[in-house]
Amino acid sequence: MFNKEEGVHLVSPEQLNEFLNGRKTVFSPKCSACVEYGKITGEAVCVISVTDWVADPGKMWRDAEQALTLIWLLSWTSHGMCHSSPGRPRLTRCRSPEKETFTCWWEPGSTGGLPTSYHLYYRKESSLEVFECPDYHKAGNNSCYFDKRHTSIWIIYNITVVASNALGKAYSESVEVDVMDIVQPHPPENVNLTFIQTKNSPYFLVRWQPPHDADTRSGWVTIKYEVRLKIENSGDEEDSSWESYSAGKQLEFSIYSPQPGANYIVQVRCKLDHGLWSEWSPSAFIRIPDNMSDTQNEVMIIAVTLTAIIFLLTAGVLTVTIKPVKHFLLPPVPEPKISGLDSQLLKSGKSEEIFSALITPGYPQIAQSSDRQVEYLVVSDYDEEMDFDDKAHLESQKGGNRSTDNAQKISQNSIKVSLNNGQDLKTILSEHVHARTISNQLSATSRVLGEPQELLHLNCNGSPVKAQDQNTQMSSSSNCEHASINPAGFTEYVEVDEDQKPQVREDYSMVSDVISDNILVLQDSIPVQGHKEVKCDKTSEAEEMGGVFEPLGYLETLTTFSSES
Amino acid sequence: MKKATVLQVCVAFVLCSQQAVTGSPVDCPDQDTAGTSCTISLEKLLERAVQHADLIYRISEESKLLFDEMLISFGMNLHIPEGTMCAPKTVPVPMSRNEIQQISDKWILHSILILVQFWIDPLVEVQASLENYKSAPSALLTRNKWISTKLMSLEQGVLVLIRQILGEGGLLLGGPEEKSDRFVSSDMLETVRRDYSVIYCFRKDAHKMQTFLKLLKCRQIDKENCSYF
Repeated sequence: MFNKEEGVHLVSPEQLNEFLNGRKTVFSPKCSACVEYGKITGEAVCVISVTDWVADPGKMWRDAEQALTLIWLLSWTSHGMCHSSPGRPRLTRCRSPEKETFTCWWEPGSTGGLPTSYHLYYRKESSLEVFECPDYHKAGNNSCYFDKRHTSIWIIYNITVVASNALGKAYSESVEVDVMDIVQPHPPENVNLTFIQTKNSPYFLVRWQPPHDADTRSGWVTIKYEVRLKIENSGDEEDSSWESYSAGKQLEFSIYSPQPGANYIVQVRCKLDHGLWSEWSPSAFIRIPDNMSDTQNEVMIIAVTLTAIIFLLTAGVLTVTIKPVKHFLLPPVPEPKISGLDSQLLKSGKSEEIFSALITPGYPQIAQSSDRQVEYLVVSDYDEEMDFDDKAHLESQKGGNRSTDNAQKISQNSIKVSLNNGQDLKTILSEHVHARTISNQLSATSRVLGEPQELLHLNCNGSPVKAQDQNTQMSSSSNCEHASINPAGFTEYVEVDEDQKPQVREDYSMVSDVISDNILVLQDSIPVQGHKEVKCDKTSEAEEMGGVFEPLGYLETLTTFSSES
Repeated sequence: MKKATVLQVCVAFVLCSQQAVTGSPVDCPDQDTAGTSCTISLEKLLERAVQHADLIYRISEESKLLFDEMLISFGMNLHIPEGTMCAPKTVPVPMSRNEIQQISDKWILHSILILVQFWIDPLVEVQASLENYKSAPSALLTRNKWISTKLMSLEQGVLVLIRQILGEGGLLLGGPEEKSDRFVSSDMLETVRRDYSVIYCFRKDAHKMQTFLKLLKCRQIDKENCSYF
């Protein structure tokens, strides 16, 4: 219906009324009446004297011309031509650079086309009195600066900005601010860079000053700095990324081993207490000279290398030629000598003479008869009682040449001798030495029984344990986490003493069988006397009776003996 | 065996005696009878107090953030007008650097002590209350508990400082502390609101404690630079 082009249009009153129907009317400077179509199309029409138009046709035409010149169909989107009350301003941020003053900035809303003034009002926490901003100009446009007298910390400010013009007022949303939360200092000042060329570690020094308004000396605020730098790449390459370093409270920072020939860009920023980081300071530039001390280094390196080569050559030549030097530098390795073995004899090739010196009388012994009773030394790791297999095993192997009353069955809790490998018993014994000693007890019982007894000493202290059988002259070691020994008729004598020399020779032929990694079956005529469990309690090592056995185990064995004997 | 035990006993004795020699600020007896056993310097005491307060403030800040997150996860919109949350203390606290720099050491120390003593009980209550929440993050609980313990040691430290700097025997300024009424409410929202206000207001007071202690330390240690102006 309407001609929507911009310009002056002639419309009839009916059309105008229709257009004006339900539209909001506002005034504009160029006409006495202005209709703002509003938000959708933004068109505005300037109308004067609708009544004049209608009443006098003659005048109408004259007026119409006037009116027509004044009727606008404004552009669809223009708002600014029309006036309204202001739009709501908005507080954008508040900052305190040193925790003693602060500033708030706001963003104006629409002005509504009229000159608009802004006022900032604030209230302090839990008080109703309203104050106005003390300084609108110090911090620039649309800002409010609170100086020291007006700034209180640790209380909440409730701040509102009011925009007002001739047509009305608009209130911004209130903002609550506590100075301690909005601390953001100014950047550090006077950043300067110096390149220091020391002999071996060139570096450049970054120095700066704290922002002038922050009071860092009295402890009011604690300041912290951060330095970042990057190499400026000329040409097409991408800039390298920033490297940041924390610099604590100090006012200088050293960058070691810079790249020679590079251009560095350095910036510093700071933070007060736990507030916000400041902006980065303006960049400072430095160029590192080329060839710092490379040549010097190179010469040194070459000189040192040459010297070393010459030295080595000399030494080598001397070594080869002069015998005393050779002996000094490369002492001759002593050759192995076996006593009794003469290398001359070896060369001559007569075997009996060679080996005569090696043979000791009585070695090796021929294997014993198989009807010897098997001595089965078992020191078990656990409390459970040995199964009767062992018992049966032993009984079946009992030889005829033993008196039965002497032959004791190895009953439960027999001692298991643990060996790591069955090969070299003697060395093993010296290595594995945990056992408890119960020697005296055993000797007592052995005296009772009237036989040459052998005691089983299990020493937990670390001396090698030799479970020695009088007849078999075997040595075996025992592990004792829970060495359990059962009282039996005869005991196995285990010599504990580390210092004593082995009094009995080893008889490796007594090993009749190796059952597993740590079980040796020894052949012997004398069975083992088992004893009750002996705990290897290291904490009770304090007491030592006769220097031989441990009290706890001793007590236990005492009780067991008394109960069983 | 015996040798080992004897050696252990000797070492223990030596260590213990060393500790007895250096002493600790809490165990320091009165100045008159102290003699040589209490020799922690004022500087060190202040340094420790400042560190305590700094840590307490940082952890209280983290507590507040955790509480905020918890509220968001609960879907609660507390909308507490922050301005009205923290009850004013009986003793007026200075509000700006100028004001603070004009008050005496005695006043600063007593303010700190009052603040510390004010918050010990509410934090314990909040800890108990937090444990009743359905899904309070354990980080929040541990932090709150940590703050409670550290606050008590800070109280001890401040008492020692008062003795050393002011020479008083722990005299308390002002009347008896107001004990806030035990807050018991079956309304979940009220409880949450109360807990939040405790954590929020404590954080603010922790910042105050930290600032006062830092200023005090500067004044005591470096009198020229920290003058009033």
